[in-house]
Amino acid sequence: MTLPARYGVTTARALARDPWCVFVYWEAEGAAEVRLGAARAVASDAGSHYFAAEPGREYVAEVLDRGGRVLATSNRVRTPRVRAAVVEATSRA
Amino acid sequence: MKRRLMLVLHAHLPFVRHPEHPEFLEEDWLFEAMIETYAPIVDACARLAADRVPFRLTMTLSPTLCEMLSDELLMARFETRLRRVAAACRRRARAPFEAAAAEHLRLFTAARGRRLLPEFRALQDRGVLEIITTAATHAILPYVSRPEALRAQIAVAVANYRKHFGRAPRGFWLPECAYEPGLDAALAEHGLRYFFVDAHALESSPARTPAGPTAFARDPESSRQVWSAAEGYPGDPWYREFYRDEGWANGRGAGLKFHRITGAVPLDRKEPYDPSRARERVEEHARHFLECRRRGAPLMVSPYDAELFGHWWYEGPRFLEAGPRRRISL
Repeated sequence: MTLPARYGVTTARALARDPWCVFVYWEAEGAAEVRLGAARAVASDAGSHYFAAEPGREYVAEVLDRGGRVLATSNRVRTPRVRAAVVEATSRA
Repeated sequence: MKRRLMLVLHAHLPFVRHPEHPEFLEEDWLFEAMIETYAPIVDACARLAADRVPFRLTMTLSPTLCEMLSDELLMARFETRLRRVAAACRRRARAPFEAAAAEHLRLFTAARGRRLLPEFRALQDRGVLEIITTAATHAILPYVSRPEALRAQIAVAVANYRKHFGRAPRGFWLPECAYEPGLDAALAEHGLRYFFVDAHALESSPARTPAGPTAFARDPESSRQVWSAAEGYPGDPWYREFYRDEGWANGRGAGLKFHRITGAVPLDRKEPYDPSRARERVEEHARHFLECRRRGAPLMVSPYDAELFGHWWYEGPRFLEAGPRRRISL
């Protein structure tokens, strides 16, 4: 069984893979470009891309058409820190 | 300084139940885990409790696993499989595999006619075992896209736990230890009081999260000693070889593993398994593991996949039992 390449639903979703990488998948008819922060990727109507990212930052992906019009906006995603959480003395269990 | 070791075994299998087929390969995952891991762990805990050895173990039993262990069709199929592998074992019980075959027959006999879920529950009711739950379908929670789906993963798990164990769960295993801020509140909303994160998540462990539940971080050193393919105990030459099955036929194993790891040699050069030598090694490894913990943090949290103990590392349940019996103070 093969999964369909498209579902006919306009969507964009961002997932933090690790502190330095955000995975984005999307579907939007007429898509030409996907942006995440300052990074850009060439887009087709449905696809996915791994974007370079920085730790501890929030990102939202946007899917645009050839004219720069936003077709879909993803959820807001935060990349993890690259260090352990410092636990305050008062919050020790 | 008094140290404590907190063993956490995470038992989870995906829901594999296929009544539309007379036999289904993936159901063997459940049956193998029942024979080699779940029944031996229950038996090890019961023996420790009977001998009044001070011992407590935390164990996840995932909702999908609980449903399978209480499913009449799967349990009937399990008995059929047990009869078949026991018969295959008897046919192959000849030199130089007499000892290995006897060991396997004992294992199959011990698994027969069991109702493992009530047995786990009884161990919890006796205070030996702390059973925790996990996401309903083992979803990686930070990737669940909708808040209602996230709540359902937790709420269904809590309801399923109540159904099987007669009380509310206190602890929760985050699938793949995947945490993001906010999950603490989602767990607190369902009355859950603690969960586990990976070693790199917390500078000092345990820690109380803003919403209330306590987070325990994995101790990396104790994990490595057991998990590592190169240095870990399960790679000992006297231990049972996982990858050679004397009952292998038509792409399906029977779990008749009559050889020992031997060393870095091809599978056809493995030597016969000697259960008594393997038991000696277990005792040595259990002592070594506990003595190494004397250099650790005040509380060392050692989580493992439950199926490592018994299924992958055949001698694992004996290792779990040997440690507390030595009563080594940390």
